Amino acid sequence: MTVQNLLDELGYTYPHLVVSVDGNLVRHDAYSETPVPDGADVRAIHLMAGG
Amino acid sequence: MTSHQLLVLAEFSYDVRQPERGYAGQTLYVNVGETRIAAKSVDETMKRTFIGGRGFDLWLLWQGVQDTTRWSDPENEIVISSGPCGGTTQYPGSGKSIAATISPLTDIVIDSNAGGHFGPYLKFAGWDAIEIQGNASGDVIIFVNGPAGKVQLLAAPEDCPPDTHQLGAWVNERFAETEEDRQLMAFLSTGRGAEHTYMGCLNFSLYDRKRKDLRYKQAGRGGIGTVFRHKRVKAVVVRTCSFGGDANQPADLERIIETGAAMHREVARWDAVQNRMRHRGTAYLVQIMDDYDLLPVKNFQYGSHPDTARINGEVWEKTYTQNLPDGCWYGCTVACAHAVDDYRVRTGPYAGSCVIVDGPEYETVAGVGSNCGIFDPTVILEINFYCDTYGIDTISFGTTMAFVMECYEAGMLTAEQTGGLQLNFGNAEGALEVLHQMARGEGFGRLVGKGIQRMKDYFATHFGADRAFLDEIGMEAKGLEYSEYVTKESLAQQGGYGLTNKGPQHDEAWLIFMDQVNNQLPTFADKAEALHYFPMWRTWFGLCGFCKLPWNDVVDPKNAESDDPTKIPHHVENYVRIFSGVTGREVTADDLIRMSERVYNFQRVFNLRLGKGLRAHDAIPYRSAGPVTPAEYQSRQARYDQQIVEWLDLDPTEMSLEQKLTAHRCHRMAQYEQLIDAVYARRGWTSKGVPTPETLRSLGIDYPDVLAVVERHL
Ligand code: SF4
Repeated sequence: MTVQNLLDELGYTYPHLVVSVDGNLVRHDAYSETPVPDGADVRAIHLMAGG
Repeated sequence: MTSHQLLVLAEFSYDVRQPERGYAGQTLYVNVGETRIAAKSVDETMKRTFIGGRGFDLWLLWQGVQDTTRWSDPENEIVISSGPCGGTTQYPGSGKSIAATISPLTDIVIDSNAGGHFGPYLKFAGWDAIEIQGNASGDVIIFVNGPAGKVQLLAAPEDCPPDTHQLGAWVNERFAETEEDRQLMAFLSTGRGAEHTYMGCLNFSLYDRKRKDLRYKQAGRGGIGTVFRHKRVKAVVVRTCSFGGDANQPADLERIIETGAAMHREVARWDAVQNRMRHRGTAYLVQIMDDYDLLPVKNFQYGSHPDTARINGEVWEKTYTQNLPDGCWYGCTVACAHAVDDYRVRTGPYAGSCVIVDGPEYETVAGVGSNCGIFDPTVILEINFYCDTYGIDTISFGTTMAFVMECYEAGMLTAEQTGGLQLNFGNAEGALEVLHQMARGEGFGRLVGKGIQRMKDYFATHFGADRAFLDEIGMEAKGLEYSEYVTKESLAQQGGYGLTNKGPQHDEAWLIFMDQVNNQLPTFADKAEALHYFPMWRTWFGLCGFCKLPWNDVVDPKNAESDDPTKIPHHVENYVRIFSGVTGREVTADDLIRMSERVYNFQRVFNLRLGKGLRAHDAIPYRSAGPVTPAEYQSRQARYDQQIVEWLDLDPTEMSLEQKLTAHRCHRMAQYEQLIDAVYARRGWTSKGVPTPETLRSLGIDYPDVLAVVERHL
């Protein structure tokens, strides 16, 4: 599973995320290539918006 | 007839001072009742303490009114100011104005910001703020003629059109002789809807050079337009002197240019792959909110709907006219202020006309669209056009109509009581008919125009409706209608709406993602800290003339590596640099928060002075905190049942639906009370919600009359 697969699964469509896998930041353009190892600590921080 | 041929009721000559370090150094006072015009000077203490914008508005208003002043009294004022950085053209989003008055909806101070050219032009014409007091006996126009160094109070002739889009053309014809005049002129107006409702908005014009036509941005909230028309003001016109990028005479133009250039590069690089503000504006949020169950649907009962794709950002991207520089002030490369050209109106007094519709923005789409069960973009455009030209706030209109529709469907309201209108959710023609009635001050629309708080009283008293149910589903707090986000699963955002100074408007705090999605605010202390920092940070934009969107709606991903990505520290640093660059005051990020704390606490004391501002006034309707109806519960049954297990250690399979609803209500409202305690403590307020004398002293606003107000409540 990649970061992108996981975001899709979670329904995280907001484009403005800070994603890290086991503490390592993942660049936006690398979501599709970055694997998520079993048991990894994945964080997807949604940067606040609101009109 | 030109402006020269209008009857002059009062005239005042002044020396036009070019702003220095962001300040013109004087404010303009116009009493339309006494036909009196005067100048007031701005001293260093006023600049240091209140900064500008909302701070200046509050300070001037505080001195103009009495403890007993109501919105309609002659001593009530409308004050409008941009702020020291307003009018900067090198950094995106630096031309906002803030208007403030005592609101007909809330009976306390409302502040509302708007784009457009008025605030900066007023400053370049020599004034940091305009203060309008008195109630005139006939319609008047205030004309600030910068190049001539003259302010006139003029009698408005009878042929002055009633609604903004026509009034704009009329003003252009009377007050501008050349294309350059039109570019250097901006004005405030509203329409007939503001005369007959309590939710009148104020329209701020901008002359769109590409379209060669006028456009309007709204200070929508709280009925400022209603006060404007009650004072019998038709328009405030400002003609400024021609200006360039150094019009503020900033202390360090180079620093501003450098900071702005970096930000423009960031916008150009990242907007297209982030929120697409340059193509979709804030309407990009419609689908996102739906995806996260946060889009208000049918009076905030639900958070998503299968038809959202019919009104989402993709649709608006195709509907807005593209490839025009849609900034609401010069130099805004975020340029989210889109419009739809050549819209053919199909109902009401302007049926058949071709018009420009400004927006619709997210709040309008969600408010008059999904929240009313309307998923037709042309209806949303029609309502948006009429709300703007009639001068009615789209947010209050949307939330109010949604309330009416739920009352109708719940049997609290019958077609007999609505004058024959069957106001089910999704009845677009019904909603439009109510809007036209509101503008005419007729029929059921006249009642709707008074807003939810007064409708609740009326429905309970005259229609025998269940008051408790009305209180739970009527989405207003302090008398102001909610803006358009579902908050049931974010306790922090319940506070973000409830613990505001002016009422539930998201411009103080928008914490839903931090709280509900990121789980970054797990404790009450965390939530209280966020409900201190973010309202103060967002208040600061309104002190200085900034728009908050460029702060967080497009961000270089390098932000992810910062200490606190949610604050976007490199953008905060930009604002530090711009503020210092304009004013010459070397400040830190903490200083900016301190500036806001002063003004924010002052506003809280102002509410107390007007008889509100206590804990009881920070109450929220239960729909904001949890599910009111069985259908609402069932729509998210799995989640709510799970919460009963996790939060209350109860077995939902052993409980009736009624018991589960009650259990949620008790728990959620208790949580909200605990949140209030934590936030008040963090803000330096008593448990009754009163800023303590120590807090006021530490902020340097312990003036005797301010202390006297709080001492009454200690
Ligand atoms: S970001 Fe949008 S609303 Fe803000 S100043 Fe720019 S165009 Fe106006």
